[in-house]
Amino acid sequence: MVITGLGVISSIGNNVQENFNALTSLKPGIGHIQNLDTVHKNIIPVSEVKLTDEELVQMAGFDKNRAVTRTTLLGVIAAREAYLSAGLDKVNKLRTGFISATSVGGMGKTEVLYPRYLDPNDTGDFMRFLETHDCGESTERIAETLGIKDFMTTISTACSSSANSIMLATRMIKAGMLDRAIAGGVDSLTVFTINGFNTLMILDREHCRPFDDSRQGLNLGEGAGYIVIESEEAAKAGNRPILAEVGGYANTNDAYHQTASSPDGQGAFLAMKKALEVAGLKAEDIDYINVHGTGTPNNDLSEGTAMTRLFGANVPKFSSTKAYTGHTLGACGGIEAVYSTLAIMNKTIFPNLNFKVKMKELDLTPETSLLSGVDIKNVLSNSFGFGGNNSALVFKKI
Amino acid sequence: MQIYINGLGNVSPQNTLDNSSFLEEIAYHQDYFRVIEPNYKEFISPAAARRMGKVIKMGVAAANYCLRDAKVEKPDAIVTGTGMGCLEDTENFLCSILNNKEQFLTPTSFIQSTHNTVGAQIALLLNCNNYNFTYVHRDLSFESAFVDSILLLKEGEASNVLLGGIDELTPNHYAIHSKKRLWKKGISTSEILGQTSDGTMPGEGAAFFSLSSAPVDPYARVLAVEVLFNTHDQKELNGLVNRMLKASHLESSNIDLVLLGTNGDKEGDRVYTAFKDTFFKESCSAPFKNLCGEYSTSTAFGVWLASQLLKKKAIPACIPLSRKPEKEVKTILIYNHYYGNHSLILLSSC
Repeated sequence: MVITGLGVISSIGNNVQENFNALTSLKPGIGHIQNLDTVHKNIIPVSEVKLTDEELVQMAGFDKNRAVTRTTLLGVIAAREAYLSAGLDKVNKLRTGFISATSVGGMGKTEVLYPRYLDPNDTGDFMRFLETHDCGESTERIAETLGIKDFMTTISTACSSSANSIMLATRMIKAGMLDRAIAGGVDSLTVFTINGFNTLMILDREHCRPFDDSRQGLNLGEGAGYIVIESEEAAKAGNRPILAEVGGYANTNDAYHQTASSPDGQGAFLAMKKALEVAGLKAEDIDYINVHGTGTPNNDLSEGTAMTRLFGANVPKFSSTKAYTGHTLGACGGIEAVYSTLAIMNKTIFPNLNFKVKMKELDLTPETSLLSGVDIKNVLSNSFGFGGNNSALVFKKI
Repeated sequence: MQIYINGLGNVSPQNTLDNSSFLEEIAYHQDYFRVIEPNYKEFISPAAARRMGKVIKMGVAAANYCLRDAKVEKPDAIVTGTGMGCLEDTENFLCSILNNKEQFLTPTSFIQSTHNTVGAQIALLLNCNNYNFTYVHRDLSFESAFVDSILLLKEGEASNVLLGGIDELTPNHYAIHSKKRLWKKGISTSEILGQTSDGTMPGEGAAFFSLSSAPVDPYARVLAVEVLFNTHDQKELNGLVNRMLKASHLESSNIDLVLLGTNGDKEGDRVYTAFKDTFFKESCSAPFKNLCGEYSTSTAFGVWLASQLLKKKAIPACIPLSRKPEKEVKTILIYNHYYGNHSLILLSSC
């Protein structure tokens, strides 16, 4: 199962090239809230896509009178980039799937319209948005835009959602159910999620500092990331480049707490271990880990503990790219799959910004400067979510 | 590989949790179908239950019953589908944000608003580290979970899978969708199919299944789960039906009973009638939403009903059959559609 296309939109860029440029010039996308109406506006930093809804409508090529959510627009832009970059428009239509993921779907519109929805006498054009709330909406609109009908579905397992959509797509292709699939996920920032994470007291008031001893929490982000996965046979059609391979995958459950990660990182440990097994690799074969690394005290300690358990004293080079993009929730597995593939293709390890001092509990230091010319054969990418949902993916150099 | 349904657990608007009876008495409700909630103390501590939204409790109870029924302690995988997720907790958190202008919020309802909460809580209670996915694709959420469950068994990744379809109805959801004139109002659920008019009656439920490649006193065998997206074209549906029959080595006349998602809505019901008349003219048919109402994962109720019919080899009086079957019902097809999405689930007796 090989990767033939990439698409991404995030706070650091509206396409793959812009994201790569920001990653290699160490430019994070974190700043003050611009696109949401909230009391936290100048207090809680976030990592927004730097475009208004109107600008996104235009970029996505949608009719401006259509009832469409920011989630759908972000998803269309990234999924279409992946589709076109793989040249899927130029080769014969094989059995193609679209497997997407999101944590809150169309909540961004619902939270604005909710008082009007609840008012029995308030009826009008805004009621069209009612059907854009659920998680399946963005998937169906994106699939419709790309003309995909053979298979589609939507996964929602909190912050591991889009790693899981990549896992499902790979398994379905492996099993011969599909020839190729576009897989990843999307989430837009909402007042709902900002307040939710704020009540959990895990939002840093500064730029997040993954794996640093002084870390205080995460910055929320938004965006979409998709990759095109094909069977090797399907990928041969049309003389198109193969970028990397999806080598391994695993999903486990921490079964410890609804939101907190276990002290021994059991779920994370099992997910990484199993992903290596599926990929047919030993721990020492991993050259780079794109860690989940949200910057919360709990996640980074638990993930670091799991890494130490698995890799012992030889933890590979690792970094969290969330100090660039913020934590994009249902989109992060997709976005980081794109970054992992870019790391392999460009022999580059993107640094873990804002790291100064390693945490007291573990002897772990992420990469803090841009590394080029690194022959990266195998990347491990972690995504962990609420509900103890832990996933790990392995990307291999071709 | 054959796939069997070895256990059932169903919290629904009917008395379906207790396996010793089978729809002997029908519960009716005013305006919408509400689940008959079991005594949760058996599965969840009272302190935990107080914090949990209804959908979580329903899901945990149904999952527990199912595992007990199948004599499985810890499933190799937990795969759930939910169209709307944890609505009550989502609404509670959203309303607190709006009513309190983003101040004085507590995290409980936010924590439980995540769509994978039911699957996660089941894993937590069972201390189960295994595969745990949640599908949220509208009226194909349960079918998506079903497709994945079959794949897990075929891959050899799991020898048994706990599969569930869960959705709850809340007063806000009911009221908001009333404005779109989706519901028939002011009548009892006994009349859902009585009048052909616009709209239906909503419902809710949590139905779980223990699937395995090895039969253990099974209810049914799963022959096919097929989905079709975004089409109103009979030809495409015809292609799907033919593919399903061919893959199962069956003719349309072999389908003894077709359970249709008929829900009383004039326009939607035409599609069911056309489906039955075009593809399965000779088969008996019956609706199932007269027992559970319309909701995103209602086909999970349909699969529960079909499984029971196949094992108990009896058809309760509350099933409005198109005609009395001439022979024993051995093969049941469940057909559902919603806004151009279609699903077919084919089961047979063991």
